This record gives sequence, structure tokens and C-alpha cells, in this order.
Amino acid sequence: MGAALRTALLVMAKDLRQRLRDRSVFIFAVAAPLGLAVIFSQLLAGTTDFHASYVVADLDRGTLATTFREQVLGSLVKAGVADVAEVADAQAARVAVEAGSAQAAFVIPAGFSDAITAGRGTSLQVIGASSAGLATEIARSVAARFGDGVVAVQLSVVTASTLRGGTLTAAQAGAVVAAASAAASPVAVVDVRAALRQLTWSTYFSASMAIMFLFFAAQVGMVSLFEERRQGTLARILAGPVAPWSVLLGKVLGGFVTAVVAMAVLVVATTVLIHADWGPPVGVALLVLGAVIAAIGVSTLVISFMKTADGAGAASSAVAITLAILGGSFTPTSQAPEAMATLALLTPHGWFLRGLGDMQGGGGLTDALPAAAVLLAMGGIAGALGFLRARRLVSIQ
Amino acid sequence: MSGALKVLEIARINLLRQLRDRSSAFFVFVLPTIIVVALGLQFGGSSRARVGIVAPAGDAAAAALVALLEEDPARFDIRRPADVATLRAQVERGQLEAGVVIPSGYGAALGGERTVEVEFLGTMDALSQGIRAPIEAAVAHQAAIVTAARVAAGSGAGTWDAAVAVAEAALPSIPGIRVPVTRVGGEGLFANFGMFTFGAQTQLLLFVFLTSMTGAGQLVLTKTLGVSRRMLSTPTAVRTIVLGETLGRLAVALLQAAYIVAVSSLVFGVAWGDPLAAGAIILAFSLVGAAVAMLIGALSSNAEQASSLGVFAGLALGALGGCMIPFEIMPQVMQDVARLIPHSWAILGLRSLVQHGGGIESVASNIAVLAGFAAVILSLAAWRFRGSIVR
Amino acid sequence: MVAASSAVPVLQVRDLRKRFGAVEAVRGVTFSIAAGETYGLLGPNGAGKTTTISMICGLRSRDGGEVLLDGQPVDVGAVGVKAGIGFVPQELAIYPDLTARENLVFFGRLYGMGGAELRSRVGEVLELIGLTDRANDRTATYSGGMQRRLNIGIGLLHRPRLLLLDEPTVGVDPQSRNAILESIDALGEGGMAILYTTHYMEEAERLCDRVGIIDQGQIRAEGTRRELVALIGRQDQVRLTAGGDLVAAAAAARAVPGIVGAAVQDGCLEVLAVNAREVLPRLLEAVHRAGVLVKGVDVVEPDLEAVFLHLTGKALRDAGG
Repeated sequence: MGAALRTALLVMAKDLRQRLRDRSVFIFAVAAPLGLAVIFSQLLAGTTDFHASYVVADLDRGTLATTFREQVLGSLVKAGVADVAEVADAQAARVAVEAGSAQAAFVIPAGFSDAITAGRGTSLQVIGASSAGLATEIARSVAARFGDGVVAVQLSVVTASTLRGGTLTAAQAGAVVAAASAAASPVAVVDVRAALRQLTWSTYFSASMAIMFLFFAAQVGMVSLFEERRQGTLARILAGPVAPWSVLLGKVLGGFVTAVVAMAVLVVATTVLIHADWGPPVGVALLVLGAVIAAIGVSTLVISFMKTADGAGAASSAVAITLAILGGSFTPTSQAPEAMATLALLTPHGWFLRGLGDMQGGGGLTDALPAAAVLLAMGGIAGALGFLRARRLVSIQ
Repeated sequence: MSGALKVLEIARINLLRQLRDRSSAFFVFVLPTIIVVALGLQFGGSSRARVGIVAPAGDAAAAALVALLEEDPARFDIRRPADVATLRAQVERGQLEAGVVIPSGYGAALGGERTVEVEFLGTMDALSQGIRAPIEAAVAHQAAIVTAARVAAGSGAGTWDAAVAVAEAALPSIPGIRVPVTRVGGEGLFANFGMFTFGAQTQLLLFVFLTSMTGAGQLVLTKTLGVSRRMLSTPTAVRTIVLGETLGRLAVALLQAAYIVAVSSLVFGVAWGDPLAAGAIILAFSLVGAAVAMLIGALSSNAEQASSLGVFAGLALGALGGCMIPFEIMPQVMQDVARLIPHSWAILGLRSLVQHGGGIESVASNIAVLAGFAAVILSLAAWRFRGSIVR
Repeated sequence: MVAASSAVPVLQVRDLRKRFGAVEAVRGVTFSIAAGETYGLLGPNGAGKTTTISMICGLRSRDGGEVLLDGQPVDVGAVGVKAGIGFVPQELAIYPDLTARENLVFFGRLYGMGGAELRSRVGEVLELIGLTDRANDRTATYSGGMQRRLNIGIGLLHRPRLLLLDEPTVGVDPQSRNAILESIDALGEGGMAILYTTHYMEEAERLCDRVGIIDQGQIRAEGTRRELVALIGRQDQVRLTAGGDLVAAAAAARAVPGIVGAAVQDGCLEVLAVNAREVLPRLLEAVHRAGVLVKGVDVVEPDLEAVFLHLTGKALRDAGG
């Protein structure tokens, strides 16, 4: 047993030395995922911090118009949701939206305040850019909500008057208006912050590219077995005092070390370069370990069915890419229909990303345990089957 | 043999080699199919914000609020998770963009004097804040009736129940403030243009390019196996060899493009616009792909390195060029960068064919730019290739 | 066979058999090699030499027979006993992206060597194969001959009891080939048993103490060069240098009374005759009728080539590939 382990370690050390000299491993294990993660994070930079720019044309300048401008729109500015600029008239507002300098415009018509005070109908126009759906929707909602505040007062008067048989003294009406205006909103929307168990874009793509290319890095150990066969060195090794399975173990270990190192470099590099936030280090380490074992297990199993190096490389690349697509390496499955999200959980990629997500928003190591367990189970089962099958590869046919 | 015949012969051998390689069948035909179907599933889903609502059963007021939120189907995709815990989990995992919890006893509490709290379960995410606004508007709409009923009942005009009935009846006659919304400016990204069409077009370009990239490794093999030198020892010009090798890649890329166009339009009904114009764009773009593969092949000294570099270049250029993320979402700087990538010219060309229905003259500039890319890169590749085999 | 009674041979191979589907590649091969002895397996391509070697070093399972190294059985599952075998595969089996030293150290460690012993032994072997100066260059940058020498050096590194050399000079330029043969010649002196397979008659004659002539999976004859040549008896070997259809000429020659065998080898017609003087006129006439222009005639002393021709009726190198 000790001798077999020694053989395995020797083969592993030799493989790693060769791999260090071969730049192609560096390219697909580290440079490619890092490069793509950086590109994706740059492409999506700023998509999550929503900020609208509005303009308002106040043609009324009355009390209620001022209230709308200063308090309602002011609160948006204060909350950091939008910035609001004033323009002279409706035409300028429309031009600003068309030119793209504002995403939506509010136009307060002349006579706005007077109409409301007199109980007449009026309007608050929203001009939105077609390409800025969300900003326009928010603008519409803000205006509608202001309108409903006015409706509440007017409706109070009508309701009270109707209940009293259609007669309301001026004093009674005044009291109702005052009460309605002063009344606290009977229904309030309160925020309950959900801790977002999701990764930021830069973290998401760092992790998804890392695990996608992990499946390429993990296969190098097994694929090199075919290379050794072609070179004749496999026969030479097997002619020596070694147990064939220990050579296989060495190959697998070589792939394992390559993959772990590549992942570690990626975690550190993406953290430094694009501020990816992977989460608590111990949990990340656990998930990375699980992912590496899953990747090694799956690629060992896939390669155990192949006969040539080309076939092995192509088959494991095909599996790697298919799993990556299903597992959400290119598009977060949370944004996909439920069927895709369920499908993703058949892949190590899906669980790896889910485990990292579960640790976000104040989660900890324990939140990563289910995903890590699934990854280990996937890797363990596939790896054990693969290892048994692949023993036939370490012989001279 | 004349030069042209030789070029065709080299191309034919290359095509044959690639088609005999069973793994390439996967990358050329199977993988794009998987992706197009996966995209279909993804984009086939809703692009509306998903909002989960948990409301007490049998509560008329709660039901009314839900109805208000469901009123405009274009706005939200309303889901009804079983309980608050499920709702929270789904929001946390991003399966819902936001959640609304209407407390139990909502209707009864409205008749009281306190402020009733409707919980908005969202994240710090901007999108979440965007969703909050329409929800607040819906709540405010219902609150108008409640305020009126409370104030009227409070003034002693009648009972709460009577006041609610009157207020609800009177609401339509209240002048209030209308909020007309006008849309101006250019069309949105997907106007007149399905998400799926966008996906099929960008994936076609991504894959055609990637397929060409696998040629880089093969070119190095040709080079190292000495086949190129052997060809050179025959009376064949370097130019002929490079052209032939390029044509081989091109043939595979075009075969794949034809396949993707056929599958996507026959099975998923994707539109491609004017066939001549779309074909010209795809041809010019494929030529760029083949040229880049030749350049990488000429520059690399071992096949594995060339393959990995090629795949990386294919994915990276695809991402930068707008194949994975629409330009409109990118920051301005990256949009500018995209203009330097051939993919973006092809994407914009194909898109305009579908959106505006023009013919080949409408995308002439795109085709010209792509042809320019191909010419420059190909000359560079031929120069380097000559350097690497004529030592 | 005096040595056999005084000591157990290093290698004993008994009735070795191997079948690949319908083809019986090795059909009951038996031989043994004593310490310090170089044994040659001489036979054409496809005779079963490589398959035999593969079974001896436990790379292939066998269908029958046994292999004993110093009395211990060698089998596919065996581990420890293989430490006594040094294996030099026919094709190059070295890592092109590692240096000669790294190649040697890796395989040395696989054989359980280490520390100062390994270091000094690697130095010795590098010296022996003449690669000391280039020891730290990647082997991909070596000439073909240098790679061949390293290929052999790796097999010697752990001072095996038995060295298996599977056609080590195939595809080697004449100069390197000579260097390789010289170094192998020196090895037997260290008490190592050597099994050397080749289809070059001259190599077998030069290096081997005893030679087994193998064809179609069977050893047809075995002995020292002298013993083997004696098998031919008093036959003469005639070599015709000629142009034209030599294969037809060989067929015509075989029909001539007094001719034992005829075969084409290296552009010459090799003929084995009971009495060269008597048969020569008839031979020349027959060959002439076959349309071949004879440019020269040599009557040469019989060699292993002739023995092979005698035993199998065909030439060693062009014998059906």
C-alpha cells in the first residue's frame, strides 16, 4: 500500500512538472476563466445599481405642484433612486427624454393646484423613453400615488356627504378635508429586507467561469494517460514494479492538484481584480473542494468510456460545456423558468453556484453544507465508477 | 493543377478531416442545438418581473389588493407561493424579484384606526426598488377608499361598513388626477424582435466563430506533421496553402451556420430577414472567423495551446462583441469596445434585417467592415504562416 | 550447456503462448538465459518477438506457459519481482518535455531508488550513454540517436538482473547504431542477463552469446552462432547481385535441382545450395530465363541469414513483413 501510494505520488509529481511546462493548461485552467470573468463583469457593470434621471416641467407653480416636486420627487432624490432636474416647459421635457438626457419627464399642467383644490379633475403627465421601461414605470407609479392621495381627500368629502344625505355644511366639509389630509396612510408598505442569497454579477461570473473551466482542468490527468500510452511511457511504467491502479491514482491526483491550484488562483485573482465576493473562506474552500471532486469524478467516468486521447478530450469537453450551459454558467438559472432551474440542479455547476449563493447575505459555512454534500456525493459516485472502469486504461492492449 | 483548383483541393481535404472527426460533429451540430433549445426555454419564459404574493384566504380587501396588482399583466408576473417561508426562500434565491405579504386579518384591520402594514419583501437590488413603486401605487389606490371611509365614519356620518360601500361606489366619479403616460424615443431592444430571435442570431455567430477556432489546432497539427512543408515542396504557393486551409474552415463554418439557420427557423420559427443579405453577413463573418483561426494557428507552436487559445478567443470576442449580453445593457465604454469586435457588426446587421426588413444594400456597410476585418487578419495570418513554415 | 547445471538461469521461459483472436502470435516459446549471457531472438517482423518480451516483463497476460525470474514467477499482477527487470521498448518511451536527467530520476524512483544512490547512478548512466553534456535539456531537442540512447539508459538505470532490449536499433542512423551496440556489448560483462530481439542478423551475430531463431511464434532453432551455422551442414550460400524481377527469379531458382532455398534480400538473390560449384551454371541459366540480368556472383560463408533461409525457406527481412 505504501509502495503504491509512493508510485501514485511519483506519477503525480512528474505530471505536475510536465504541466507547468505546458502553457496550454495555464491558458484554459486560469487565464481563460479569469479573462472571461473580467469581461463579463465589465459588460454587466452598473446593471444592478438602478438610477433614474427625471426632468419635471412645472407649469403650475402652485402649492400642490410644489409639494409634488419637492416632497414626492425630493424623496426619490433623497433615497438615491433618481435625480430630478427642472425644465421650462412640456416641449423641453419631451426633448430631454427623446435626446436621452432624461429617462422620463413629469409635466405638471398650469392650473394643477387650483383644479385639485376646487375638486376638479386634472392630470399629471408622464413622458417616458421607450427604452427605459423601469424608469417610466416608477415615474408613473409615483405620479399615480400622489394622485391617489388627492383622491383620498376628495373621496372622503363625497363619502361623508353621501352618508349625510348629500348635505354637508362648509364647516363639516372643512373638517373632513382637514381630517383626510392629516390622516396617516391607513395602509403602509413596509420593507422587509430579504438577505439576497445571490451572487453579484462579478462574483457570479467569476464562479461560473471558474467551474466551467474546472471541468477542462480536471480532465488533464486522465487525458494524459492516453498521451503516455502513445508515447510508450505507459508500457515502460507498467513494466516496472508498480501496481497499475496506483498509476491511475497518480493521474487522478495530478488532475486534482491542478484543479485545486487553478481554483485557488481564480478565487484570489477575481477577488483582487474584480472584487468578487466569494463568501466565508472556509465555506468557499469546502465548495471548491466539492466541485473539484465532482469534476474529477465526472471526467474520470466520461473518459473511462473512451479509447483515444482525442476522443477523451472531445467527450469530456462536450460534457463540460453541456453541463455548464445547463448549470447556469452563462445565464443565472434564477432568471430562467423553473424547468431550467430544476435542470440545473442535476449538474455540479448548479449546486456549486447555489452553495455560494446560499452563503451570501450573511449566510455562513452551514449554509454551504447541503451543496457541498451533493457535490461530494456526485463526485464520489461518478469517481468510484469511473475509477473502476478506467483501470482497463492502465494496461497494454 | 491551377492555383484555384489546388485551393479547392486543400479545402476539400480539410473539410473531410474535420467531418471524419466524430467529436467535431458534436461541436458543429449537437452543441448549437442544445444551446438554441436551452435559449428557447430561457427566453420563452417571462421577461416580466416575478412578484410573489401571500394573502390571507377569504379576505375581500386582500383579494381586492391582489386584483389591483394583477390588473396590468404586462407589469408583473404574479405568483402565489403557499406561505411566507416559501416566498422568502424564493426571493432569496432570486426565483422571484420581490414578494408582498398581506397580513392576516387585513380587511378587519382596515376598519380600525391603525396603519396596516403590508410587507414588501425585496432586496437591496435596484430592480427590487423599481418593483416597489408600482406596489406602493396599488396600495395607495386602495388606501384612498380606506382613508375616505375612516374619515367619513370618524366624522360620525355613518358606520364603517356603510362608508366603505359608499366610498367604493363613489370612487369612479372622483375627478382626481389622471396620469397619462406617453412613450417617446427609439424602440426598446426587443421591439419588433423576439428575444429568441436575438438569442438565435447571437448564438449562431458565437458558434460559427468557435467552430472556426477549432481549426487553429488543426492548422498547427498540419504544420507540425510536416504536411504543410510537403505541400510547399510541391509547386504550390504559400498563398494557395493559406487560402486553401482558410477555405476548409470556412466550409465547416458555413455548414454549421446553415444548420443553425435551418433548425432555428423550422423548429422555433426564428426570422432571419432577407436571405441574400443574411447570407452575405454570415459569409463575411465566417471568413473573419476562419482568418482569426489561421492567425492563431500560424502563431502557435503546439496544437493544444492553439486549441485552448482559440476557444478562449472565441468566447472572449463573443462576449465582448455582444453575443452573450446585449449591447444596450453594457456600459458605454464596453459598447465602444464592442465596435472594435467583428461580432458586433454582424449582430447589428442581422438585427437590422429583422427589425427594419431591409435588403442587402441596407447592411452594405456592415458587410464591408467584416470583409475588411477578414482581409487584414488573413494577410497577417498568411505572412506569419509563411514565416513559420518557410524557415 | 555446462553453465545450466551449475546455477539457476536468471530467466526461464517455458512453453509461452499467446493468442490474439484467431491469430496465435506466440506458440510455445521456451528458452532460458544465464547470468552474464546475451541471448538473441532473431526473427522477421511479426514473428512474435515483441509479444514474447511483453509477456516476460508482465505487460501482457499469457494464455499458457510460465516466466521465472531467478526462480520467481513473473505475471501481470506481479509487482516486486519486476524490479529485477529492465525494459527497453522498441519505440521511444521517454518524456519529450522533460530533460534526460528528469526522465532518469522519475523512472529510477519508480524502481524504488532514491537519494544519493539515485543521483550517482543517474550520473553514471548519463556518462555511459554519452548525454552528460545535454542532461539538462529537454529530450524533444535531442537528435534521434540521443533519444534512442536515453531510451536504453532508462532500462539500465536500476541495475536490473535481466535487461530486455526490444529491437533497440530500429530506425537509428548507422553511427548511433554502432555506439548503441558497443555499449550493449559492454553490459553483459557486469553479470546482467540480456534478452535482445532483432531482425538484423549482423547484430545477433555480433552481440549474442546464443541466438534463438523465431518465426511465426515458434523458436525454430537455438544455439551459438557456430552451432546454428552447423545446422546448414555443408551447404553453400550464393549471393547474386542482379537487376529485374528478383521474386520471379527466386521462384525459378527454387525449381533448380540442388538448390535448398532462394529468397530476395536487400536487392540481392540469396540462394542456398548443396554444392555451389555444381549448381551454379544451372542456377544462372534459370535466373537468366526468368528475365533477370545477373551483375555479380559471390559464394559467401554461411551466416545466420542463411540459417534462417534454411529453416524457413524465406529471407529474414523481406519475409512477408
